[in-house]
This record gives sequence, C-alpha cells and structure tokens, in this order.
Amino acid sequence: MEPMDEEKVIEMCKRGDLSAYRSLYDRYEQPLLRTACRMLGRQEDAEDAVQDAFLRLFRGIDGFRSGARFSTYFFRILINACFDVLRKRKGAEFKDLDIEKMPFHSSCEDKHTLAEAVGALPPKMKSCFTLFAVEEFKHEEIAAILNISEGSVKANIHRARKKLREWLGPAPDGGTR
Amino acid sequence: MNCKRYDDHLLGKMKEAEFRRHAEGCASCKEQADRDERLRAELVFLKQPISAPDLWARIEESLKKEQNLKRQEEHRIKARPGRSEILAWVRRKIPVLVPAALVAVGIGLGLIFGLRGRPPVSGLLAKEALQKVELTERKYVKAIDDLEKKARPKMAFMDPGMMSLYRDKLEAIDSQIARCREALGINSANAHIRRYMLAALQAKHQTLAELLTYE
Repeated sequence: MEPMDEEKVIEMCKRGDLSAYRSLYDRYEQPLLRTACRMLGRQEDAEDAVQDAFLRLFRGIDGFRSGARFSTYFFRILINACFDVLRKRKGAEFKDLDIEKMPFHSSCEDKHTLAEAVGALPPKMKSCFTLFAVEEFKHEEIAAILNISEGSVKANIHRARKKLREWLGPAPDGGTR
Repeated sequence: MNCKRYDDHLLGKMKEAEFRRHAEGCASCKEQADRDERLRAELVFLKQPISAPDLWARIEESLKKEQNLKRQEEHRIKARPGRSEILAWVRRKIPVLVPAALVAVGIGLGLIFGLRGRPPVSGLLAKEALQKVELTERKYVKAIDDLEKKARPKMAFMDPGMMSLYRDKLEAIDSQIARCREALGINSANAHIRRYMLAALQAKHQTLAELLTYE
C-alpha cells in the first residue's frame, strides 16, 4: 500500500473506508501496541486496547477537527482505552504482569527487569515516561494526550527516571546490582 | 545516591559545564549519570517491534460489525417519514382533512358557546324556572292589588296607632319590593333576589289579608 497523506486518509476514514483504517493501522500499529504493552503489561490486554482504540476512533472520527494533530488524538484514545482496562482490573500488581509473553524480551535478564520496572510505575507516571522515552513525544504533546499540564508531564517523567535509576542499581562491575 | 545536584542538572537548574565540574568530584552524581546512561541503552529494547499477527483481522472484523450497525441505523432513520413526505401526505388527504377539520372546529365552538350561555345551577335560574317564578309573582301582584283596593278604605277608619303600624310595615315591604325590582332589572335570572322578591310579596299579601280581618 502506497503511503498516503494523513489528512486524506482521515477524510477517507470519515467516509467509512476500511482501507483507510488499514493504512492507519500500518502507520500506528507498533507505537500503539508498544504503549499499550507498557501500560498494561500483558500483550492480550494491549491488543484488546488497540482494537478498542480503533473502534472508538471509528465511532468518533467525525469529531476530529482537521488541523489538529492526529497522532495526539489517536494516542489519547488509546490511553483512555488503557486506563479503562486498568480501572476494570483495579490494582493489578507487579507480580501479575505476564512479562514472559512480552515479545520484546530476550535472554538478557536486565531487559525483563526494565520492562517490569516500567510496568510497575503508577499509571500516569508510566504513560508519561513511555510516551516520552519510548515513543519520543514532546512534553506538550504528552500534555495534550493525557490532558494534564506540561509541568506535570515533566515532573512525572523526572520521577519515573529516578525510580528506574534506583531499580537498575549500580553497574554490575561496580559490585551489587 | 543522595546528591541533589544531579536532579538540579536534569531540571535545568544547573548549567552543563558547572555540573560536569561538580560530577568529577561527586561519586553520587557520577553513579546517577552512569545509571541514566544504562537506562537509555535499555530503552532500545523497549522499542523493539511486537508481533501481533491476528490483530488487524480482529480490528477489521469489529469495524465491519460497527459499520453494519451504523448502516442499519442510517436505514432506520431514512425509513422514517421526512418533512416533505408528511407534506405530500397532507396534500393528498386535503379533500378529507378540510371537512373533518371544519366539523371538529364547529363541534368545538358549539361546546364552548353552549356551555358559556347556560346559567350556573347555583346562582341563576334557568329559563323555564324563571318563567314559573315570574308567573307566581304576577299572581301575587294581582292578588295584592285586589286586597289593597279593599284594605285602603278600611285603614281610614282604623285606630290611628294600629293604622300607623300597618302603614309602616307596608311601606317597609314596598321599599323591599322596589329594591328587588331594581336589582332584577339588571339581572332578572338572579335566584336570590327572586327569593327575596317572592318573600316580600308574600309578606305584603299576608299583611293586607290580616288588615282586612282586623276588627
């Protein structure tokens, strides 16, 4: 499929053209899945959240104003879908995270640890950190996605980094982990 | 790991060159910078692609379902008669609707005016009852006229005290009759005034009859 201008794709989506949704899927599948995986910890839940996000997009695409940034809009839908899953799950604990089923894991134990550590962060902190450090959104974009202030985004990212630094521990050659 | 200068550096409160100079002699800041570096390196693994081979098929299926529901809803809305269809139906039915509307208006007006013209049961007399009352009053008036013709000459020969009493009483009754006639001139169907009138006529009839029998 030839890459299409995003505005054109959105117009086609508004007309109910499913091939346009396929085009959006090709573009956003990985960032959406990664974010949902970091937010929810389980791939099945992440896939459900992405599917839900597409369904919500289909229902509400007419409300999307041309000129607004689509990726911010779409990620906001996804984050809302993830928060709904978390609300339903209510207090999922770190030990419930099914890290072994995460496709990004490798034989290196540290990679598990980092994924687990990110997963164990509080939801808002986790979403700020993932959107910033993994998906490389700007502070203002994250603020728009999460509907919080830029200051709150920066503070959450800072706290997340601090927690993750503590989690990582000292360098292996420096003694304890 | 307790030097706060590293946080100051991250938050932009400390200049890069100044922090570097500080970090050369601070083990805590060096340690934190090292961990951050490792964290950045680890993050690469979090960016690795995730395989979800069936995901699009699931999404497409749910979108198709949603699309069908949307189409059904649109058909349902289209199936509802629109404004132009309603107007066309009204135009077709004009030969029936106009006479029906006229009949309905006629019945409505008839009910409104019919109910408005009927006097209330409690305060006003119906036409038939009014005729009966007026007939009775006329009979009383005639009878009173007859009695008066006989009574007046007799009064001239009466005891002055008694004559004065009867005259006063008859004057009071006449005054009451005059006020009732005045009020009935405004509303002849007023049942209360008719009752007072009849009572006054009865009283006058009784007084005159009494006067005639007076020895």
